[in-house]
Amino acid sequence: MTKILTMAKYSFKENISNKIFNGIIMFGGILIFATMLLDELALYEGVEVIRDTGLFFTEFMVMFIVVYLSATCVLKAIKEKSIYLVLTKGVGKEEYLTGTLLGMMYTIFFNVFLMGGVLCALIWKMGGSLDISFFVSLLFIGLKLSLLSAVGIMFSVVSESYVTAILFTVSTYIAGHGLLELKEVAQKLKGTAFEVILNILYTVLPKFHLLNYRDYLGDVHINLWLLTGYMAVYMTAMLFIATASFSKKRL
Amino acid sequence: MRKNYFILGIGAILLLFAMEGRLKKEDYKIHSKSYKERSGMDRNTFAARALGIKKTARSFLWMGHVIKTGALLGGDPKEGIEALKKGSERISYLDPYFVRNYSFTGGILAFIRTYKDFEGAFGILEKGMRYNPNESMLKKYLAGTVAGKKGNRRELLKLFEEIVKESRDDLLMNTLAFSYEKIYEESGERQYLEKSIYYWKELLDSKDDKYQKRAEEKLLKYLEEEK
Repeated sequence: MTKILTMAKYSFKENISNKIFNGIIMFGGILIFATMLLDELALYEGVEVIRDTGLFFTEFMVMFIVVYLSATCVLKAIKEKSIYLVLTKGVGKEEYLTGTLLGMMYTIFFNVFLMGGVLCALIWKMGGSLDISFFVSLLFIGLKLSLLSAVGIMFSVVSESYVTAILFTVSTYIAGHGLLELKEVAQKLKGTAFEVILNILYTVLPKFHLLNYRDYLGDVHINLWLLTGYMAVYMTAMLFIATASFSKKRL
Repeated sequence: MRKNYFILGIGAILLLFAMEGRLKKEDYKIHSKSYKERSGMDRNTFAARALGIKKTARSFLWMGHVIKTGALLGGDPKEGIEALKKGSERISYLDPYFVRNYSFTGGILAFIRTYKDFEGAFGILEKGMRYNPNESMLKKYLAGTVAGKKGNRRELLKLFEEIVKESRDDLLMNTLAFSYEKIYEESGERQYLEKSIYYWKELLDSKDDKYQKRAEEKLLKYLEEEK
């Protein structure tokens, strides 16, 4: 456990010292400030527009960082040979991946709440009020991106190049949001091989649309504990696949 | 790979399959709240829905709708009505619970002199009521549309006053100010002038330059008359 936590701390420090990371965070902050300008165009719905677009920008910017960092972490460590230093110090491959994922989660929540805090201050300054759903939305953005980082790490182990790892991670993120539409298409293709394929995809892909709390319509009473549990189980499964693949990988 | 990691991993995968049934129930909850109709669906709105950015896309569409509405006023009424209806449908496709879309579009269609499309306004407000049955504002707009169609000016003004008390609508405030001014000119009763001045004052901080400028001019005129 100590090794995992040390690995997580190292991973977090490495992530926040990344130049691209800092650039994206700064750009994200500017974008959130820029949403203030939308108030003039949104007529009577300024606060709601700022809230929705601000949450979207928060997720979008952190998603960029997550995809870049998680889908390249193992490949980069192998390329730079820094992984040998860690593995020769008695850290197992499982601990290495678990620690990296944990570090990534620190980074995600740190960023989401940092940018969420800026947005919160902005809405407060505009005279808007914030309810509990705003904070639940931020929490679920963090959970969703944590799950994406587990997927990214898995692809980073399985893939042979940065491009394919990033491409697969982004595709999973996009497809995971459109599962309801995928299901509708599958229902229209009843009795064909496509229906089977689409149903398999529906089961296997991460259900990001369920974790997309910021985009829920109407008054939906969803089981938040079930979704949190689902996220934890899915991450464990991803980590297992990554570890299984990593243990067979020749470094 | 260590044995405990292996057991944990296999257990997680099995648990994922076991959770599928319960997750489908949550899926249904979300699905049951989405827009049920086809109107408003195009390549862009469908993509926004599939990408999980319904509310963000709705916000941008709403801003575009407001700008377009302003630009279309004074143009060809037929073209304006069509564009307003289409814009409203696209917003509804993404977020049918966005009440302002119905009240704004319905209000413009029914109460702008060059449009006066009561049927169109009624259709939009009725759709709003289907998705937001507890929204008292929409009921008032709907009643206002009926009163407007029948030409019942007193009832219409009463409803408008109730609406602007609850939520800001510069179009209605502008109509109220103008109507009370006209009633004052006809009857000479001072209470109507006071009401008119009250709504012109409210419009001083309007986000729409047109209303703001008009309110300034009217209030300046009254001040000069008082002197």
